[in-house]
Amino acid sequence: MTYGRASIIAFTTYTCVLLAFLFAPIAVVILFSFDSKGIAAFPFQGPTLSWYQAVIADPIIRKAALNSVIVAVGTTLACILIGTSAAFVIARTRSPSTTAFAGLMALPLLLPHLLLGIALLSFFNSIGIGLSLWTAIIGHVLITLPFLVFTLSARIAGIDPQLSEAAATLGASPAKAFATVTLPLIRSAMIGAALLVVAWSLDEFSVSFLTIGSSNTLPIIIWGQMRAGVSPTVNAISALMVLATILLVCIVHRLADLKFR
Amino acid sequence: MTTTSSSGPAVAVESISKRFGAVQALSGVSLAVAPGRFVSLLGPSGCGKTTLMRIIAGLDRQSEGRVLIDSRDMSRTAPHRRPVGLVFQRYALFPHMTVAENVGFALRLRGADRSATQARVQELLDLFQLGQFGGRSIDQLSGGQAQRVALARALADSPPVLLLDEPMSALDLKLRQAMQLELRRLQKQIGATFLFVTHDQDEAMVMSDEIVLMNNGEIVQQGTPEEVYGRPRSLFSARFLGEANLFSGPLRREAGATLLDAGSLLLKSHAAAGFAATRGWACIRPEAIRIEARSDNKTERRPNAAAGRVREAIFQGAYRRYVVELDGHSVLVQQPAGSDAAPTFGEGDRVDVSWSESGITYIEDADNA
Ligand SMILES: Nc1ncnc2c1ncn2[C@@H]1O[C@H](COP(=O)(O)OP(=O)(O)OP(=O)(O)O)[C@@H](O)[C@H]1O
Ligand SMILES: [Mg+2]
Repeated sequence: MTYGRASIIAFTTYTCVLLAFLFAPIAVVILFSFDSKGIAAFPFQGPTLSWYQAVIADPIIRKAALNSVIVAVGTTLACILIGTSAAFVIARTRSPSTTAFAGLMALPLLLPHLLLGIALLSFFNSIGIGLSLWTAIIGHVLITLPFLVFTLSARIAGIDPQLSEAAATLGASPAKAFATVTLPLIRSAMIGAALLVVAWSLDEFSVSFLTIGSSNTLPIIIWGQMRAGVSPTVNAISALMVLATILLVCIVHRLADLKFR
Repeated sequence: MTTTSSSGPAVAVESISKRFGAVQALSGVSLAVAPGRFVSLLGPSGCGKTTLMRIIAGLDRQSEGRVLIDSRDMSRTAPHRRPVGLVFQRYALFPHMTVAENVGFALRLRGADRSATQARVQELLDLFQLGQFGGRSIDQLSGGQAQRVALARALADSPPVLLLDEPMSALDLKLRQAMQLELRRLQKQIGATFLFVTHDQDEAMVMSDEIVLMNNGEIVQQGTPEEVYGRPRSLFSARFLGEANLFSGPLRREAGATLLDAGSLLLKSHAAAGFAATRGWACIRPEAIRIEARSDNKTERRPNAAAGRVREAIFQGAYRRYVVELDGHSVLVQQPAGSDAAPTFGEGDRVDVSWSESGITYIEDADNA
């Protein structure tokens, strides 16, 4: 099928406008993080790196960044450990209880996070668990597990179960068969899903806020500072988070492209 | 690798049954395969061939019965501990490995050294005419090439018992015939025991020391190709393996001969002494029937002969086949073509057909008509 020149131009313009509209706020945030004026408003006054210096020098922000990373990494590891076996169950067994299990897994995707956060908070209080990074990790796992489980189970369902059987008849123990056949086949899906979990955990606010107790993560800091108006520091933090996310995506792309043997 | 005990069967299953929910895939199958034999499992689709293979390999667990490999009870042994290889009906090649890596899988698992693995892989690839495909990824293979890779992979570590589930179904006729001979030669050379599933009866006859005929989850007959083809024990065997002219009627004995009265036809054989039934069937293979031009106009009933008219004459290259209309019956006759001596007939020709006593196999009326 061929399109006329005019329709191609129209379509391209339309797409560009749409993208510009979507990405303009992000661009503005990044722009003002370099503005020396001190309030986020036009006109642009002059470039400076002082907000970044302030962010990096601020011990509270540094602590919050470290917390964010700890929670994201902890969440991701826990998700992989718990989620991989769950994904196999969902992909490889057909029974009413499996369907019920999958439905239950998906539930956190559908519930409002605020509600989940409040439920977790009162749950932890009622059984006397003090709030900490650990409880935040539990909250994040609850929310992000479905991403990982369903991404992985879709991939696993696409793998011929006879491959593991073939490995077994060639002398591979179940563990060996998993390591040499199954794992290489699900590795890129696993990395993709883990990325989703990391990005999501870095971003999460409501559940973190309600379950982390007196600690902070970056989104909580941003929220705290926002109450005093949009400050250039907030812009700098946001810009750094965008940068971190882009880096993460690039790294994962490279990893997923590599052939693992 | 394994110590072979001198006498016992290489593989034996004893009273194996397998149910999948309501489906009875196997019922009471017993089979013993002597070391170094090439045994073909033959039977219609869904009769349980793959299920039996999977149970022997340990991939499915039998509902009842025992599996013995090299005289050791392996009924509950995990598949990777059984000295049994399996070539899957649907190849099951590893998509993340090259052809060579697939073939070398078992050797690498066992920690064989690199150069030995490489040499062995190349040897197998050459043997299966895949010499230049080693570096290819498996999604760049045709069905026939993939099937040969699957064979090479299963053979790489020389398992003492190899189960092959229709390993040549995707090959074209020429290649298939070449591979049949190659596989048979290889099997003899390594002295392994092969249990080979096929849909193709010609293939089974060409390759096997023994044929095991299955139907409905049971073994219906087992023997050399000559026995199973030449002496079918049931209507199913007679019909499934090759073509059969079948006549039914009451049986009687007369001076050491057994006679079957099929209306206008009378069949008579001295070679059926043990056969005691009073009703039954006679099976005569198409090539056991002689066909001649009508010599006289006698119409009286003679044993093992009849007069008729050619209804169809078919030339098939190596054979000529005739459908001959007799009084109340029709028979299929097959004769080698090309020999100058054999007269040929056309549609409508009046002919005499006859057969020798040894061409007759009596079958009990046990299963349905
Ligand atoms: N996992 C399973 N679950 C339920 N039924 C099964 C299963 N595997 C096989 N069966 C049934 O068991 C019977 C025997 O199947 P099997 O695959 O052994 O047949 P087969 O002789 O190999 O047939 P084909 O020649 O078509 O490959 C069939 O009726 C099949 O539907
Ligand atoms: Mg099968």
